[in-house]
Amino acid sequence: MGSEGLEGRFMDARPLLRRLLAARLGSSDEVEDALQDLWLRVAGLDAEQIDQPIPFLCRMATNLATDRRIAAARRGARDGAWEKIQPQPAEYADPERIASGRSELAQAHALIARMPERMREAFTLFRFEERPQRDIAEHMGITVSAVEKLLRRAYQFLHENREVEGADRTRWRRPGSGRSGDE
Amino acid sequence: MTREEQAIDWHIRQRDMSAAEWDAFATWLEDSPENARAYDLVAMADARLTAPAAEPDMAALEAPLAANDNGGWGRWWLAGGVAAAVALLTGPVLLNRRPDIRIEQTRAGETRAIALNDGTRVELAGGSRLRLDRNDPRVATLDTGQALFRVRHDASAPFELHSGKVVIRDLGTVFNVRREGARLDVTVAEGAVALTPPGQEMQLTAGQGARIDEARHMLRRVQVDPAMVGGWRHGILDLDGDTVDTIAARLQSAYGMRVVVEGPLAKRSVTGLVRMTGDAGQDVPRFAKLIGAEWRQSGGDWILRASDGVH
Repeated sequence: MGSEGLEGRFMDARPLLRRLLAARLGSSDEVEDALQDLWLRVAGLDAEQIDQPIPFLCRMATNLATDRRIAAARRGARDGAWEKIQPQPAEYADPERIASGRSELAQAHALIARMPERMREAFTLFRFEERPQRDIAEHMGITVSAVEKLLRRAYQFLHENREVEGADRTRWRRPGSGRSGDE
Repeated sequence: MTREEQAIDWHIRQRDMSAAEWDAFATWLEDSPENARAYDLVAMADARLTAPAAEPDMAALEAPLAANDNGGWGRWWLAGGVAAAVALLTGPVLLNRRPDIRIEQTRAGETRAIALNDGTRVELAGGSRLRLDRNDPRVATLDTGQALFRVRHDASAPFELHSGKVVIRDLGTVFNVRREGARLDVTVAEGAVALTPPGQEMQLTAGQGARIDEARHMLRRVQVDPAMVGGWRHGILDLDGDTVDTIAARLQSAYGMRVVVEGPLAKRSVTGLVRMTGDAGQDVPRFAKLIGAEWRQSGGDWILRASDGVH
C-alpha cells in the first residue's frame, strides 16, 4: 500500500464528506463518529488504484450514511440492564420465521420479476452486476439516456410498490410469543 | 419532478458523479430535511436488496457439519523461506504486467455478484475487498473477507486467486475463500484447485478444504460438505472452532451487526452451523443462547458475555 494512501485526499474532501454525512445523520456526534469510521476504512486503501478519489470517498461516505440509517432504523430502545436468557422458543429461528425475516427481500425479488423485461434487464445489469450505464446501453443496443430512463422507472416501480418498512422488525425483537417449545 | 424522483435520479447517477456533482448532491440534501429523508428511503431499500438466487434447501442445510479431519496442525513451511518465496511470487508479476486494477469492495451487510469478462462469476460477501485486473480477468486478489468463485476453466490460462502469501489456481471449479487477518480458509464445492502456500503445492478436490494460519505458518486439511461450500450466501454461519470474537467480526462484515464480546467469552471456540436471518434482533439473542452467553444492547451495539458467572 502506498504510504500516501487516500489520506491526503480525505483531508481535501473532508468538508464535502461532512456535509454529505450531516445531511443524512443529523447529530454532530454521529457525523464525527462516521467520519472517523470512514477515515479508518480509507487508511488501508491505496490511492494509486483509485481513479477518482474524491467521488470515491463521497460514495463511501454516502454508503456509510445509508448503513447507519439502516442500523438506526433497526435499533431497539432496549439499552440498560443485562438480560438473562431464558429458553424462549420464539427466539429459535424456524423456517417460518426465516421466511418472514426474508419477506422484505422476497417482496423486492417478486417486484423485480414483475418488471417489464427491458426494465428488469437494465436494472439487473446495473444493480447486481454493477455494470456502468454505457456498458448496459451498448449491451442492450440503446442510448445511455434510454438506460437511465429504464433505471429511473425501475427504482420508481420498486419504490411505489414497497410496503411500509420497519414496522415488523421491532415486533420480532420481543421473544416469548407463546409458541410451544421444542428445545 | 417529485422529491422521490429527484432522490432516485441522484441515486442512479452516483457511480459516475464528478466532485462538482457530489457537491450539488450535498446541496440538494441540505436544501430540505425532506430531501434527505426521501434519499434515505431510496438508498436504504436499495442497500438491503441482494440478487435473487435459487432458494436453498433449508432441511439439507440443517444437517450437521461433516466431521472435521482433526488430524492436527502441521508445520508446512520454513519460516526463513517465507520472504524469499513471497519475493518470487510478487516481484516478476508487478514488473511484467501493467495491471489496471479495479477494486470491488462491499460494505458490511452487502453482498455483490460480479461477472468477469471470461465468464467467471464471483459472489462477494459483506465487508470484503477483492482486487481485479481489467487487463487480465484470470487473476484476482482477495484482501479481506469472503467470496465464492465459479471459475470458467481454461487449461491454457488457469484462473489464479491470490490472498496473502497463498495462490489458489483453479483446475475447473467452484470454490469459496475467506480471508480474516492472517487466516485463510479455502473450501471446494466442485472440481479442484491447486493451492500453493509458499514452499509447497497441494491439491484440493470437491469436499476438501484447507485452513491456513499465515501468522503461525500452519495448515490444516479439512473435510467439508460440498453442498455447504458458500453457505454464507444463504445465511449459514459455518463455525469450525472459531473464537467468539472472530465470529463477532464476521457478523459485522456479513450483516453489519455490531457485536462486542466481553471477558473470557471472546476466546471461547465454537463449532457448528448456525442459521442467520440477517436481523440482529433475532439472530444475536439466538446465537447468545446457543453459546451460553447473555446479552444486552447499548446504542447500536450488541454486547455479549459469558452467562456462567465468570466475567
